[in-house]
Amino acid sequence: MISSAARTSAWRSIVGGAILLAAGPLVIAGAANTGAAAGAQTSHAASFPKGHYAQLDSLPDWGGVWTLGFARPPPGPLLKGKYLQHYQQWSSFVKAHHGEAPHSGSYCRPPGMPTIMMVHQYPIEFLFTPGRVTINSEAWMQRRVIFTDGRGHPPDLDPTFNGDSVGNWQGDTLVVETVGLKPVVQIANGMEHSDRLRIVERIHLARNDPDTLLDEMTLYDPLALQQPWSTTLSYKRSRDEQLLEFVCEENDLNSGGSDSAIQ
Amino acid sequence: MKRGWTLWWAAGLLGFSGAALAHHSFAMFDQTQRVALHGTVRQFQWTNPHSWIYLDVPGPGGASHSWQVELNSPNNLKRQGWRSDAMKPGDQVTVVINPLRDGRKGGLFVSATLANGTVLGDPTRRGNAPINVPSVK
Repeated sequence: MISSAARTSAWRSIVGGAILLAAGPLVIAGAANTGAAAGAQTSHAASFPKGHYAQLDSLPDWGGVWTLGFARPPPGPLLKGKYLQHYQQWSSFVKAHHGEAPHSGSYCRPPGMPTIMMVHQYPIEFLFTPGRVTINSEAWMQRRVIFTDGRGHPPDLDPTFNGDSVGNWQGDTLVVETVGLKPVVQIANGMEHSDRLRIVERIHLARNDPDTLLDEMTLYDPLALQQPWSTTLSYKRSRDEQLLEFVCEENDLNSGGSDSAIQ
Repeated sequence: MKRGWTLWWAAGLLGFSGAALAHHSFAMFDQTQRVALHGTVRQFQWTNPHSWIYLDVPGPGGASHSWQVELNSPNNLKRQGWRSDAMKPGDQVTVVINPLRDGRKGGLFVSATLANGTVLGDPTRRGNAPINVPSVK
């Protein structure tokens, strides 16, 4: 159950700290929910309070769709322990098979975080609604929900592909923390993670180019990584495009292995 | 490990296909080899996660052999200027592929020349660098 104070604080962060007027009604809304939901997590369903859409205008303009650019990345994550051993086994296999990596399950399975933010050619978009930011990804038609209403991560987190994300606006920068990622999700090719993985993103427009969006991402995993690993993803805006449908299951001829359908 | 990551990204710099991450590795194709197939389109599948050309190719003895050519996704192809009717059954085309390593009659699309001379390519195939294969050292 989120407190009224937290709710108020969250709303301040949503509109950059200038909504004294809105804070009052929200406190009341929070109190009403306390009674109705009897402390259940479902009280967060009130993250679309009517009457607060106009406040979204104070957020930065992230309209259009954004496509990841090609850039020279920093050196990769430095693994340790059993995670390093797993990677070494994986890379040995890949070397011995012309670059073909061992895989299980469907090729249509999405990659999860953080790789879903690193897909080339398939753009993403950001939707702002009161109390949350939604990132739609054309690849696999994936969706990330980032709650900005002040809530924390749930205590009984059930791991998922894209994890549980909470965030807040610090000026024009959206700061996001993501935890709760499934073990099957890899942080990079052949690189597994522990249940302590935590990803922090600072997403903002480039200072010198309003059509470039930067995602400064850091991965923390004290069990799998020798040290936190950071990268900056740079996206280019297209105002005139939209996301296309991508139903991977439509014609997944490779689901049983490498081109198994070819006669 | 470090170098592996670098090379993985280097592949991106050289024209990494989004289909890459979006679906599966292209390691089963021998991207050092190119084969030109002259034949008749039996089917053009404008489908995700990849488009496919089914091509009937006459063999030396007159028998026709069916080839399957894998392309990028319709999403990527559309942004590269392709349309769903780029090829139709019955079209006479020449398709250049990177063949499968295991000898089956299939390959990865490189380019196509239609009967009217129009050339359809894939701008992610710049130079001869392999695309969408995780490289490790």
